[in-house]
Amino acid sequence: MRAVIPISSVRKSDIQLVGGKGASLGELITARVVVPPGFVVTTEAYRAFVEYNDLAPLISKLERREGDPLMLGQRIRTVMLKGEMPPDVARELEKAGGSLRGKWLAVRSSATYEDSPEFSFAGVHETFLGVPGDSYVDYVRKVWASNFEDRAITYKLDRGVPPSRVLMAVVVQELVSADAAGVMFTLDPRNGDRSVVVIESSWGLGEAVVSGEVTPDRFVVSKVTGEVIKREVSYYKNRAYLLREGKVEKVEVNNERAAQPSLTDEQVLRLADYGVKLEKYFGHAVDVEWAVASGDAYILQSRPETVWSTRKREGVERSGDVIKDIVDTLLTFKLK
Amino acid sequence: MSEARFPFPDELKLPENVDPDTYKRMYLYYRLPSSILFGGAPPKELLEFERRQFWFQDAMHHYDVMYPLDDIHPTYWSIALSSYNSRIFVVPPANGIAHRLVNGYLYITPIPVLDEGEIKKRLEYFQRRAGYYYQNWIDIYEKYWKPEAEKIIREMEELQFRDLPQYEDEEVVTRHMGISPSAYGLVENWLRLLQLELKLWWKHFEMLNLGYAAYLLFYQFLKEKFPDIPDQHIALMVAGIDVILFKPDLELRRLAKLAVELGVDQKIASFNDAYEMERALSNDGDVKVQQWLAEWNNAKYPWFYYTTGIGFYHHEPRWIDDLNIPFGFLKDYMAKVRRGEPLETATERLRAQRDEIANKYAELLSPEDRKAFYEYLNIARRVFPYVEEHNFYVEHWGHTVFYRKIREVASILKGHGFIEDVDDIFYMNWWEVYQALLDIVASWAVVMPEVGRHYWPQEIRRRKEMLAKLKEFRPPPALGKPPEVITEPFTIMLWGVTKDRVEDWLGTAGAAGKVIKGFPASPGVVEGRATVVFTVEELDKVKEGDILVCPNTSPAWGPVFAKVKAVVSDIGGLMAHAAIVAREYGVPAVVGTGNASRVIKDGQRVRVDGYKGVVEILD
Repeated sequence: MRAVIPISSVRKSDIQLVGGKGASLGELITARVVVPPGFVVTTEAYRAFVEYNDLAPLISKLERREGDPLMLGQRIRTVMLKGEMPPDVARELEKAGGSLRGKWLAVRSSATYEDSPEFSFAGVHETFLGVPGDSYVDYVRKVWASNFEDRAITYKLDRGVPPSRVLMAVVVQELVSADAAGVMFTLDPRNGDRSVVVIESSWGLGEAVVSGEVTPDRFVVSKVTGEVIKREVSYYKNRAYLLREGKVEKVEVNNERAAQPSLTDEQVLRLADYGVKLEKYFGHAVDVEWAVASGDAYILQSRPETVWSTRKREGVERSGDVIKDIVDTLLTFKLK
Repeated sequence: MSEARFPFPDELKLPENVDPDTYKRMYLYYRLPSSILFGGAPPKELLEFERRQFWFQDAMHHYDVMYPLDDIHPTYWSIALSSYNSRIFVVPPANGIAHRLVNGYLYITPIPVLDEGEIKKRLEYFQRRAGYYYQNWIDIYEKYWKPEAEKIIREMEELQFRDLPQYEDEEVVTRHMGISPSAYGLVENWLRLLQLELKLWWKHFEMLNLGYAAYLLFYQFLKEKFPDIPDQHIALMVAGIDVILFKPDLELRRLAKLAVELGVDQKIASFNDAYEMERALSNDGDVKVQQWLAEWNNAKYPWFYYTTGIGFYHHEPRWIDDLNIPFGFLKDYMAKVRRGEPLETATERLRAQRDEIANKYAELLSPEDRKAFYEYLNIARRVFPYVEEHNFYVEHWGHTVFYRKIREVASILKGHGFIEDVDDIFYMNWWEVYQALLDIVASWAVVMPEVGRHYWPQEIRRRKEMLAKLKEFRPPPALGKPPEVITEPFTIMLWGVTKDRVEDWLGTAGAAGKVIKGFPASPGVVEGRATVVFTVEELDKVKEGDILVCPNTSPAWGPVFAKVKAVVSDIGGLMAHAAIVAREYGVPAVVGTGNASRVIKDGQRVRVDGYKGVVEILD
C-alpha cells in the first residue's frame, strides 16, 4: 500500500490513486514545471481507513438508500474524524508530515470522479487553506469526511454517482508565501499573438491580479528568441495580499515599491519557459496561475486558453500576386 | 488632434543679427521660403502651398545647418527621389518630397496623392513598371546597378582639375583643337562633377523606395499576424549575412586578427599616429610587417572610403582622409583579440540564425499564411541587400571621391586668393563655384584682374558669421499644421514621422518634459550619464559608459558605439541608421524622439528604455 506519494512523483496516469486534482498536478510535473512542494494522501490510504474502521457496510447502505442518507452520512463522518487510523497509514502520514512542521498548508480534496468532464463536483468537497503543518492529519480527516457532507451526498445521489466509488485522495501542499504572483498566457490575450508569452504580475499573492484590484506589471517574452521583448512596469501596484500566519492579509504597498518591477528578467524567463512547456505538453495555449517565493517560481494551476484558441484564424487578404500585395500595402500603410 | 500647430515657415523669422540678403544669396532661390525670397509680399500660390504642407526638419540626414555647397545633396536627392515616385515608377499614393531652407535648416514635406481616381490611374503604371524591377531585381542590382554606380564613381575620380598654364600647348594648334582645353576642361569638369553627382543620387533612389515597399509588405504582414513582434526580429529575418556596408569594419577586424597572428600587433600598437606608423613600417625589414602593411594598404580601396558621419557634410571625417580614425579602431580590435575577446557583436550572431528565426515564426502560422510568409520573406530578402548596401556606394565611397574632387577645385580657388582655406569653398554654392571658375578663366583669357579675390573672402567671412549664428538656433522639429492622418508610407517608414510622434513633439516642445517618447529601436533598459552630441567633431567628448544623445547617428561611427551604453536620437524610423547600428552593437536605443537632443542637457542622468521607446530624465 502507498498511503502517501510525493507530488514530484505523481503522474497523470495515477488518477485512481491521487484523484482528479492530484492527477492534474501530475500533468504539470510530467510537463516538467515546478509546483509547490507537498504530497498526496492516496485513495489507498482512504480505502485502508474505510476498511480498518469497517465503514463499507454503512456506505453501501447509503448507496442503497436504506434509511436516512443524511443520518448515515453523519455517522460515517464521525468515524472519519474520530476513528482509529490504520497503523501503517498513520506511520506514513507521520513520516510525510515531518517536513511540514511549522509550515502553512493547503489541504485539498482530490476525489476520483472529480474534475471528470461529466461531473464538476465544484465546491462539493472541502478545501482548507492556512492549515498548520503540525495538525494536517486532522484536516485530511476533515476532507475525507467531506465526502459524506450533506451536500456531497445529495450531489452524488441526485446524479447517480455511487458514493462507494468516489474515493477521496487529499492533496497536501505548502502554501506559497508569494513575493509576487499573477497569471500567464502562452499567447497575447489582447490580440491573439501566438509568438509570445504574456505575464502579468504584482506583489504578493495572485489575488491582487486575479481580482483586478491592481494594474499589474506586464512582461512579454518572445517564444522565437526567448528574450523579454516588452516590459510595462505599472506604478499602481499599491495593494497586495500577503500570507501571514497562514491567513491572507490585505496590505498597502508604499509608492516606491509599487513602482518597481515585481519580477526580475530571470524570473520572467523562467516562468515563460514553464508556459511554453505546458503549451507543448497540452498541445494548446494555456492560461496559468503562478507564484514566485524566495526567488523560486511555481506553477499553481494551468487551464486551456479559450478565447483566441477557439477563434478561427482569418487569413490575410491576398491577391496571389506579390506586386499587387505590395501596392495594397502602400495604399493602406499606417503605423502606430 | 487639437488645434495646436507649429509655426508656419513664414512665421519663423531669421534671427535679428542675420542679414536676409546674405542669407538669400547663399542658396538656390527656389529652395528658400517665399517670405524670404520675396520679402514682405510673397505670391499667394507659394505662401498657400507652404502653409498647407506639414514640414518636418530632416535631422536624420541634415542635422547641421546647411552649408551652401553641401546643400547640393538635398537639392539632388529631392529631384532623384521625387522623380522616381512621381514620374518613373508612378507610386500610386506618393509624389515627391519638397524642401525649404528655413533659418539654415532643411525642412521637408512629402507630397501625397489623395485623389482616389488619380491613385487608380497610377496603379496601372506602377504595377507594370515596379513589377519589372521586382522580377528582375537581382539582375538589375548585380549586373547593372553596381557596375554603373562604380562607373560613375570612377568617372568622378578621373576628372582632373588643374590650374591654367601661361600659354596653351602647341598641339592645340597642330591638332586644331578649336578650343582652349585648359580653360574649357576646368569649367567642363566642374559641370561634369556636378552631373555625375546628380546621376549618383539617381542611382541611390533607383531601387530604394521599391525596396522599402517590398520590405513594408513583409513588415505589415508580420505586424498583423504577430502584433507584438519587435521590429528587430523582422529586420533580422531579412538582413543579409554578408553586407557591404559592414565590410569596412570587418576589414579592420580582419587586419587586427592578422596582426596578432603575425605577432606584429605590439609593434603596430606602439604608434600614436597612423601616418607615422605607415612611414616606420614601410622601412621595416621584417617580412611579416611587410605582409601586414600590404594588407592594410590593400584594404584602403574602397573600404576606407568611408565616412564617420551620414555622408552629407564636408566636415564629416572620412577614413581615407584621416587614417587615424580606422587606426584607432584597429588598435581597439587588436587589444580585444589579444585579450581573447570575440569581435563579433550579438546581432551578428543572431544574423546567422535568421533562417531559424524565420522558420519559428512560420511554424506559428496556418498553412495558408505560411505560404504567404515565405513569399513575402523571399521578396523582402531579394530587395534587402540593396536597401542595406546602397549607402556604401553613394554616401561613403561616392561622396568621399566627390568631396576630394571639390577640394581639388578649392585648391585652385585658394591659389587665386578667392578663398583663404580649402574648406571655405563649402560656403559657396555650386553655381557660385561655376561663376568663380568663369571669373578665373575670363581673367586669364582677357588678362585682367580677377574680381573674385576681392569679392569672395569678404562674402565668405559674412557667411561664416551668419552660419555660426544659425548653428545656435535650435530649429523646431516641424513647421505648419499637422495633418489629421499621416499616410505617406515612405515618410513613416524612413523618417518615423507618425501622428503619435508629432503629438509628442507638440507636447514636449515647450515644457521641459521629464519623459521623452520615441521609437523603441533596440531593446534593453539602462541608466547613465547623457552626453549630447550635435556634430561629429564633438564625438570625442563621449566617455566610456555614457548615453549618447544626438540629432542622428550613422553606422560609420562604428566602434564608438562599443563605448556607449545607449543611444537616443531625434529622428529615425524603422530603417534609420541609428536603429540599425544600435542593434548591431547590442545597445539599447530610442530613436525618433523629435527633440531629445534639445531637451536633455549634457551630464544629466537619464534612463533609456529600448523596449518601450521612452527616455526619462532622472535629475
